[in-house]
Amino acid sequence: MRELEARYRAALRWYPESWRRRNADAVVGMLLDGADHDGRTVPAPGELTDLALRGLAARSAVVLPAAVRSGAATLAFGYGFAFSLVAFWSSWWAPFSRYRSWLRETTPDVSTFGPFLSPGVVLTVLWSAALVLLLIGSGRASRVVLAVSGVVAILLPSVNALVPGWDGPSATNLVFFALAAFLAASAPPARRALVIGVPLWILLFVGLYAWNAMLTPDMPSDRQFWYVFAARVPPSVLVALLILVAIVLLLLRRPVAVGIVALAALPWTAGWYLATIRDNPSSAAGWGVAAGVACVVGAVILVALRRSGVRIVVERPEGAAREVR
Amino acid sequence: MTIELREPSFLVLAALADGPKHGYALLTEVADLSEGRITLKVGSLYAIVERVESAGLVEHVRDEVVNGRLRRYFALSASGRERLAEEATRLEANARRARERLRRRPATTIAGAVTE
Repeated sequence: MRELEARYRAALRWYPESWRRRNADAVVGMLLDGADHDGRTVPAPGELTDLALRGLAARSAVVLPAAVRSGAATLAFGYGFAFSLVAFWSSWWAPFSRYRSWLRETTPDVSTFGPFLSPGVVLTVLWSAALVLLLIGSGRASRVVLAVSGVVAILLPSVNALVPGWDGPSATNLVFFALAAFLAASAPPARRALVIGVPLWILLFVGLYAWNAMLTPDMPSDRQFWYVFAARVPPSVLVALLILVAIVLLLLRRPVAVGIVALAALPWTAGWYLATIRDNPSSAAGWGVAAGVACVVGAVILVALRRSGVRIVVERPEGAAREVR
Repeated sequence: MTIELREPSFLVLAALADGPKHGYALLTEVADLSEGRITLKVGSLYAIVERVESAGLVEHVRDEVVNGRLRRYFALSASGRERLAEEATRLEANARRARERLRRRPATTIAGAVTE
């Protein structure tokens, strides 16, 4: 039995140490009770795999607590849906663009997608379906549809390769939509915040597009958002803005919000970086330096805050750990 | 925090409805309540317990050492009891509506058949 207990304790190493301190004895007790009941001297089939999977999940919950994942998923759901909607209106369908019909006539070798200009419309349909499912209470199905949308974004280039001349969404948009979809699917979103956030995201994007005459562009382009904004706002400014937001949130003692913003900014950062590499390769190196500087500044700020007595806790504090009563 | 109650979580709450239980007793109760349909592994059960505990539905009430093994006891909290009752009412209402629909099943008609 001692050997079995040792095997169980070894399997519990999949869990984070703080978790083991709180729960290992109780869980090993349960496992040994089960073995006694079944008359086993070896772990039951699937028991060690279950512990490994649950342990990894517990580890990921420590690195990215549920509140951070849920907050980032809510933001990603909101901006992903709104961005897919404006992309659909302004480039993937673009019903009021002046040169839409001219474009189709002059480039007959470029296959369009039915009445649409691009198969990107599939992404809009999937994001919309995910939102509807969430609103009618099917949260799980909604997350599955979001994950499917991420897979579709990854697979679309392969379909483009099979259908010559098919003018699918650009790599920049596909990377953005894939990352946003997986992020949105990674945790249950805060439904109420999303219901409030979606109209705000739509307003923001429609406002930005209208302000830059992008809502009904003469020549619809899938990459118009990126080449307009990535060219106008240098990556270093973007990085500086993110650092500023992080500092403000840390000073407000909202470390969870820092995690949410950092995670939710990933698809945008990736899109911005890709757009910079493509449209302005010379500044891509500068972008890398800016990102490095951001990491160093972030680390310095964290150390400084820690030394000044501000303690940032993203895991359950030890004081809240269970005690043997 | 309101969490979604899937069947295993519902059964864990139901298993605690008649009093506090330790982890292994919960495992066997869940299997009994589901008539053997749901047999949870220890890691999965503990993840469920942690989830409902963090939602305030279940409380850790005491620890006991029996034969050198730690037994951790959990109990349904007041809000857990309330949530379980709500969930049971909702499931009952769904079952009632489903049975009503089944009773309303129309008579089978054959396309093209002449009725007099």
